[in-house]
Amino acid sequence: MITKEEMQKIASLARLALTPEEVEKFQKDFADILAYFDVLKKVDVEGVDPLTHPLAVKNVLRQDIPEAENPIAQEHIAKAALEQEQGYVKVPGVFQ
Amino acid sequence: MNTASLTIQGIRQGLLQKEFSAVELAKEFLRTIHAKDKELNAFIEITEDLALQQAAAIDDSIRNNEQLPELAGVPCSVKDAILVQGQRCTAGSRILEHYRAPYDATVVKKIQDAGAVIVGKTNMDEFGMGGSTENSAFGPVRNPHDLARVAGGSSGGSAASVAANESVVSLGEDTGGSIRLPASFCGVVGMKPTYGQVSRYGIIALASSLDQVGPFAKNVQDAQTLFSVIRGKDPKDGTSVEQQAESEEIPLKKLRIGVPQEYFAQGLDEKVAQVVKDALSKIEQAGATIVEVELPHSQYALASYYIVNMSEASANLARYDGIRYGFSKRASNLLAVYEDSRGQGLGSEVKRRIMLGTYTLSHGYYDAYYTKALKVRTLLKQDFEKAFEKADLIAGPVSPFLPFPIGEKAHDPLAMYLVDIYTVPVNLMGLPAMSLPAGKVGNLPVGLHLVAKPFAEHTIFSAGKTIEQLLA
Repeated sequence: MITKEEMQKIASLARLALTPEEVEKFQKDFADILAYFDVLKKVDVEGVDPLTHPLAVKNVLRQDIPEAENPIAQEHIAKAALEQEQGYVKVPGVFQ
Repeated sequence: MNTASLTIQGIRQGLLQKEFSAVELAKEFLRTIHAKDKELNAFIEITEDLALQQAAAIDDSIRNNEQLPELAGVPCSVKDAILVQGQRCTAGSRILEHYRAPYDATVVKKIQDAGAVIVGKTNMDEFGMGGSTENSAFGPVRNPHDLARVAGGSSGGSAASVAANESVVSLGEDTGGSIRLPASFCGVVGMKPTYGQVSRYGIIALASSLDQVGPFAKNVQDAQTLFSVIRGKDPKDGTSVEQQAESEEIPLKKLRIGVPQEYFAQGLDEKVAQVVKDALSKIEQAGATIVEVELPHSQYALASYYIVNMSEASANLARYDGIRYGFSKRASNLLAVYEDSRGQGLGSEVKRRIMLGTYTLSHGYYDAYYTKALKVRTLLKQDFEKAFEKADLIAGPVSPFLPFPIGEKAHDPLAMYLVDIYTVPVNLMGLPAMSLPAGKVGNLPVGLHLVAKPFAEHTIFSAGKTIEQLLA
């Protein structure tokens, strides 16, 4: 069973503030779900490569030419932000 | 006006023969939505003005004797994970409750250019996480065949809207079965294309190596028509691919249908099994060959899938930070803004999966979980490749369960995950697959799952049309 401290560490990595009730519920859920995932211990993957994409994908590049501006999108994007100033997204200080 | 039997082609005829106008048709469907949806809850947003505007434009085209595009006047609903510019797009979450789409998804632009009439945004499990639409922040969707039961998920609203004649077709999204499962539960056709066939630009992402947009319809032809409109390489989606040559249309007498022996094992409701077996029997009597195939790593697919899903989701959902959009909790420092906005804005299934995905990707656990899951993915791919040497299509049940009562699995996350056991391997492999109605248990629909090789949509659609007639 994952400890409360480990749960808090994970929550912190995930930038989630959890209530004590949530931590307790998630501890139980983790136990059940990770126990289910343990079925993978039975598989022998010696010499097997991991598959990140089901079908081959290649990186896609384009010419370094600026695309036309989209003022409607820009307006929506600025309006949607928590705080904006002159069309720029304003954030609380990162280094405070 | 009897809208229940309307097809895309039927609407086109009706418009050209002036039996009804596009605006009249739109109003009729909007009336149905207003009458039924308080109970069904299939819609998060009804886009009445947009629909009437689009319908009026079609009526103008008709008046001017212009050539009508493929989806002219067709009422279409869109899953609320797909951006329609200027409309709310919530992904079923409180954290995006008031978010408005700044642009159209490529698939939306395509259906609009094709003349579709967008009647509304459909309800879904939050961020696509769920198999019943009970994880929506806006209430569950009720199954039109039995209002006490779930419509399936995560595209429950889309499936229900088609089943209840609130729309003729719908656009859904499938990451682990989210089109096929609700299609099965609601008795409609739902199809997930090969990964890369349809652009993901403007789709709120859940798991980027698994997500695909696909059509819902009442019949296979309409699903095929909608697919043909939305498909295509998109420079805005680096994972979309060039159109491949169409796969074979295999007549029933030459069709080899593989049935995995692993699928009819314990855990499958015997009434569901019977409907599927009866359907396969009819197909065999009509000339197809049923062969037994093996997918020996099936038992590991669900675990592998959920590790990949949760890991990718934990990364994709990092953007909901209360800064650029969405629900935000003002706080004294940046970290608190993140933690409180996410803590309060995200639902419990979402937080659970983010936590698990963070764990499986974290130092010390990455190899045991994420890398292991990806290696199992390779072994599954080999299973399917072998199976497709003996079979043109792989068939089976869509879900081990009948549509279950609302609330029955809501408190047991693992029980909910098991609902997807047959559908998830398809997403891990990027294969095309469809659910079409196979029969009923009482009044509860049961779907038949058909899976094909990559880019073999044509084979599925052509066989599907024949099978649909057989099972009618």
